[in-house]
Amino acid sequence: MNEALLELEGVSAGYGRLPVIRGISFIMTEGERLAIIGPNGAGKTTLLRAVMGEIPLMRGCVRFEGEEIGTLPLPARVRRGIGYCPAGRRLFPELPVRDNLELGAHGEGRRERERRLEQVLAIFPRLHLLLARRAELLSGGEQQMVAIGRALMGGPRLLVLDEPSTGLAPRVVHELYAALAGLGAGRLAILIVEQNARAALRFAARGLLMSGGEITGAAEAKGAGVPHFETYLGLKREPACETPTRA
Amino acid sequence: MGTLVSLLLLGLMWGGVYLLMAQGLNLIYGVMRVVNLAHGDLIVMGGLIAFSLFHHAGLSPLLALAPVFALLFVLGLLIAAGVLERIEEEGPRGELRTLFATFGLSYLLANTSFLIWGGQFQSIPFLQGALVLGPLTLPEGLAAASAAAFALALLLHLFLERTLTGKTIRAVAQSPLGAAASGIAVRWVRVFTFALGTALAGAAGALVICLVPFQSASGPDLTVQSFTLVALGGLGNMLGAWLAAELLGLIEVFAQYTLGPDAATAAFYLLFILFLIVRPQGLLGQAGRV
Repeated sequence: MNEALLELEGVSAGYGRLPVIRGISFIMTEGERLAIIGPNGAGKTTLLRAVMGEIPLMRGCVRFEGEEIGTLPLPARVRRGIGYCPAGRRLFPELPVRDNLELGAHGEGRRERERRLEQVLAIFPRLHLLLARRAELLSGGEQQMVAIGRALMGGPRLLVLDEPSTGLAPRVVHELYAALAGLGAGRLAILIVEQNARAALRFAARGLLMSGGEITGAAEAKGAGVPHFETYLGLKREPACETPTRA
Repeated sequence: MGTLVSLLLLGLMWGGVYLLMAQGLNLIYGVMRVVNLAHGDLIVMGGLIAFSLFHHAGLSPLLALAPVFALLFVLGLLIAAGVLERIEEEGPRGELRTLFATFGLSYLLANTSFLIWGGQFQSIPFLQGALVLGPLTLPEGLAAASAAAFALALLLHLFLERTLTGKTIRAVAQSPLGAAASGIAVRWVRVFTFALGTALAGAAGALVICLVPFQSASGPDLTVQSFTLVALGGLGNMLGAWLAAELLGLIEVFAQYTLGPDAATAAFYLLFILFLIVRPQGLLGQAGRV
């Protein structure tokens, strides 16, 4: 069995004194794709913000590669190897795409930055022609590609994505998830939070359902594919009995 | 015609000096969203250090730029790391506490200057001749200060546009969360930016004291003038601040020539009030930030 890459144990977090998520525990292993889905207000984004150190933990601990990171600030967690695409993409609107991407690897030398840039452009070839364009002038889908590309420039072992399909046309969502599927083929683990459950579950190997700040369901794909997930999580009804065949 | 061109050049040269005065404040606001009420006192401190270097070490104000810049940079590091970044609270309450902190710093710096240099006005008699260019006659000191101010503004622009450190500063200004998600140590970028803005204020002081005498209590007036330029240009907007600085220089020079010295400053502030009513976001609003 693979060793734990990311481990959450009894995590509670929120805003002010009010906990929004309570007692969250799960383990992710190297190369795993995990989707966290749930309705609006379930606490999915709060969970990611706690994992990334945007908000402090009230209880519990977060471990990455066996090391407790629960007290580290966000930039330090990113430098440890967790790439992060926050909700709303948070690009640098007035900087060109090239700078947006290169800043994701600002701690590396010029040669390494160039190498990683080539890797990102191989994943999102559309960005090749947009390198000199200011990020604010891109479409939503292109901006999302830059946000993911910027996170990949840091050379992460775990990629954390918060609602990557928000505001995107279905065709663009399909294109984006196709690119993400290519990423997940290697050692890179991907943790994704989505309201677009269908897209996320087609992509992930495992799903967690959040509701009211707690994890209320989980499912392994185990080769069963999307219908199994969707049935488990109540997105689709299981047929009550076998459909009769016509004579 | 010669007079008109002379007035134009004088206005533009003063504009360069005003730009340098406002640039540090603008940079700090653009990145940290901090209105530094001690900005004028830092300009005064830079000027008075240059004054001491001139009188005790015989260093010309242009050569004093480097040590003044370095000293004020260190002072800025200490203020940002020791005071401003320790204010953890975010949102309007945090901004208010930061504002109060810089207000207190203004008094601390003014009194420190008073203890070291006393309360009398000081100036540096540097390049007091006239520069004759054909039919034009321009003050040498202003020409030198203006050239140095433009050079520093250009260096700052190139630093922000071309270097990786400069780009991280712009990234933090445009999206602090995006910068943190890129692994940029946002807190240290903010500290560095405050130190850079403080050093620029000090450099401005070293040049301005050659043109206008300072005393330890001159800070608040300079803060108001710098803040007016920043607000007129559009808070945090470098290009806007430059346009506002040139506008101030031209209005002052032309008003002084036509209406007398008392009208010069009043004319600019009248224009500023009109701008606040008609275009409160400033000349360039939110476009083209740091």
